[in-house]
Amino acid sequence: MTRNDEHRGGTRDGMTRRRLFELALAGSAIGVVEPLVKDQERGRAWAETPRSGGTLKMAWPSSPRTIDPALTIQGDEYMITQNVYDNLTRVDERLQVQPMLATRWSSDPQARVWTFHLRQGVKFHHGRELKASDVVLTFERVLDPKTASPGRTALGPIEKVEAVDDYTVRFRMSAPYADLPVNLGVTFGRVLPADRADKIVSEPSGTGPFRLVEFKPGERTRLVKFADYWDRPRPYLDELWQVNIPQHATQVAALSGGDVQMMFEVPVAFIGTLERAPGVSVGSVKSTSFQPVILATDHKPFDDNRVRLAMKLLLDRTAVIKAVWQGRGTVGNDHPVPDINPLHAPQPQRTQDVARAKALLAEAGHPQGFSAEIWTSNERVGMQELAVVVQQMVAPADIKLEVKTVPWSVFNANVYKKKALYINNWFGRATIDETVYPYFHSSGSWNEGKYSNPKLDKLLENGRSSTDPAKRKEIYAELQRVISDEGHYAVTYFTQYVSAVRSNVKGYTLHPLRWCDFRNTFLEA
Amino acid sequence: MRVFVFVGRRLLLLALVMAIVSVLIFGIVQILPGDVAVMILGTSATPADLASLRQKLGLDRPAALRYADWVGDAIRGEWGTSLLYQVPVRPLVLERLGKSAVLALVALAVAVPLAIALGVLSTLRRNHFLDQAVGLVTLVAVSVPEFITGTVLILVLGLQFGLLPPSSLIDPRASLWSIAPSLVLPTLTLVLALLAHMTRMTRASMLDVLEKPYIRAARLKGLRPRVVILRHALRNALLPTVGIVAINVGFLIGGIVVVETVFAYPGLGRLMVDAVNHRDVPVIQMAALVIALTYALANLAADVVYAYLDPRIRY
Repeated sequence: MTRNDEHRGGTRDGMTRRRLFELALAGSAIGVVEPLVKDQERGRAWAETPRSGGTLKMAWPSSPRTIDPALTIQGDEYMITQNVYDNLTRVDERLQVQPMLATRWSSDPQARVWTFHLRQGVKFHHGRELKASDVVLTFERVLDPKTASPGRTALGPIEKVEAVDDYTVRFRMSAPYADLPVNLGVTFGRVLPADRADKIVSEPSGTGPFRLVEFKPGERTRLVKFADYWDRPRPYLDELWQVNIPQHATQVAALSGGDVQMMFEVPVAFIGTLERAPGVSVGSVKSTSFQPVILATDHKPFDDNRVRLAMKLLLDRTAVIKAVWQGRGTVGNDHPVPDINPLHAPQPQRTQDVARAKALLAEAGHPQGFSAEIWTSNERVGMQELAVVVQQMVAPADIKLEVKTVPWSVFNANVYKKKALYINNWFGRATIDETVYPYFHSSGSWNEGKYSNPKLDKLLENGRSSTDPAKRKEIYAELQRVISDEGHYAVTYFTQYVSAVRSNVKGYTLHPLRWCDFRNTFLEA
Repeated sequence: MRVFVFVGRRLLLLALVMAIVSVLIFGIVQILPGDVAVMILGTSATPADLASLRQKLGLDRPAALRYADWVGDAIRGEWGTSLLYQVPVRPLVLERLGKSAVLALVALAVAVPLAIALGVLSTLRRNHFLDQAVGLVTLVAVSVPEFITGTVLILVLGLQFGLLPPSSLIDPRASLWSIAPSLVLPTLTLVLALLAHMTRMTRASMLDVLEKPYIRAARLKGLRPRVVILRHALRNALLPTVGIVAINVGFLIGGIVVVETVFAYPGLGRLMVDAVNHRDVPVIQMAALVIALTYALANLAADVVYAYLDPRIRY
């Protein structure tokens, strides 16, 4: 078995897998009884028993375009599919992989052939039992170029999916891929019914805790409890609504007045108001999202690592977080792996050192500093503020930056991968491989700084093919050090995901990837 | 009999107007940058994929033929499928139209009598305190943008005093009576926006009519002031107001995106804006056509009311 076993808190000897799984479930139930877990308070208030019944309405500023899991690309769509379908695995709130429709799995030592064993007696909403053929169809559909799913490349190098028997599925990879179990837990891996492949949108049926009964784009989506859910007594809610309220101010009013029970995301500007509102709880969790300063290595002067390092050394990270996010954020260390990732490696934190930055600039031939444009967008919260803060912080080294602000669409067309110096906005990924490989491998699809380092490429490839936890830890630690010291990113912070609920909403845990799982949620009397 | 001939002629005219409007809508959508195939397949599509999809959708055929198909389908009730949401367009548009119509009717039912009453009162107390107060309040109300009036109403009535629901989340199974409270705040916002124009128009035309010789004659004849004002003056003074009401019907159906957004009210205006933002051509075309039709029908209704109010009017 190669499941990632680094549970925080450890496991005891002599436990059966079944017991371990029960504990894992109980653990998640414990974790979720808190009103929106705050980072530091994890694990308190666990005496309540879930109560069945009631309707929970969650406010979103945007509306789903599609409810076909293979084509979903937005958080509002993920929320629907996450509660209508199940995955083979579950990526939990600590980004650890847990069993879901698959009860156990294993691979060959090269991580090329993976075998998943399915839970028995799982029913689809239309009454049929889940079989291995459903899983095969699900992934063949995503991988079929005709489906045009963004998941085709995101799921990993899957070559073939086959049903060994009714309850066993085998994945054959075209290259070693240790992160497959995590990737099967992401949004494209919702297991669909093979007999209804042509009715995914018109008559959706999943094995998940809620049935979709109404999909009114731009207005609301209504889910009702699936009485035959395999993980009874879950779900506890009778109905789960996603309602589209475009204005955050109106959402705040609706939550304060009790028209809705939950807000998907609270912008920084509204946090104070909601914290003072009676009957409302605000919660936050460290997210995987970050806004890097891109120092493109195919442009002067950032082709010289001394200049890149000098830029990184000029930034006072705590002050940046205070100025841009009112102090809400986690300090970054110039690589994209957040400290909530199980493979995050503790390293000395880079701090502001103007003298050393000036020395490096002089060594690189810029004793008088230089002038440049820093590009950013005004359509993603934080990006513009960060550009201005960076402009001020590099000024002591005589670096004169001109802030250029453009709309998001223009940013994507003319700035991303094209300019020498800009701010970007990334959400972060569930697996360590997806977090680093596409951004830093010389052939990576999102390598926007044209960074190329054979040593790093080798490390990234080794990380993919290694299944030994200790070895992986070592590889990814080295990799984070190299990226931090030489890469094209200055990462000053990871953002927080802030959400708010009515105080009687219990059993809901914020997910660092902003996923919304209502399996354990209930309304207190 | 005469009234049927009149309405019949107006209906023919309306058909002509709709034909012209449909050509305009189709033409404008054609010149929007980026075609439907690109929108469906995204930026990573290959030219071969695009070509085959264009053929499948019939986009390679001449515009005139596609226009004829569209009009034919629209009349037969086959409105196609939304590109954005993959659901049939007809229920989507008609349901939003119904919701917009409810809000529009409620807003007009409050605003029209109120505006006429305030207009008449202002003329009767011309240049006195009441007249000036009505003028000031209605002008302030129309000058403040709706997103401010709406937000202030939410804050004060919805949150501070907790009297009314701050948003319009309508439960599909709820009775008409139970959804009424959630209509109050959007209605109030709309009434404040509509009032000034109609009140001032009523006042101006009342003042005009009251100067007319036949009013003096009516007064000299010894008729009671109430009869003079209501039957002789108001009936004639209402003509311009009716025109404004007709224009407002169209506006309320398709043009109140701001109010719909502030109160999260799922009306036709918001559907249209979402569709334009995402190049959802089938929805844009049908929503635009439906909005145009409401304008045209409202104006037809206004013409009928004109004829009723002033029997001298013949078309």
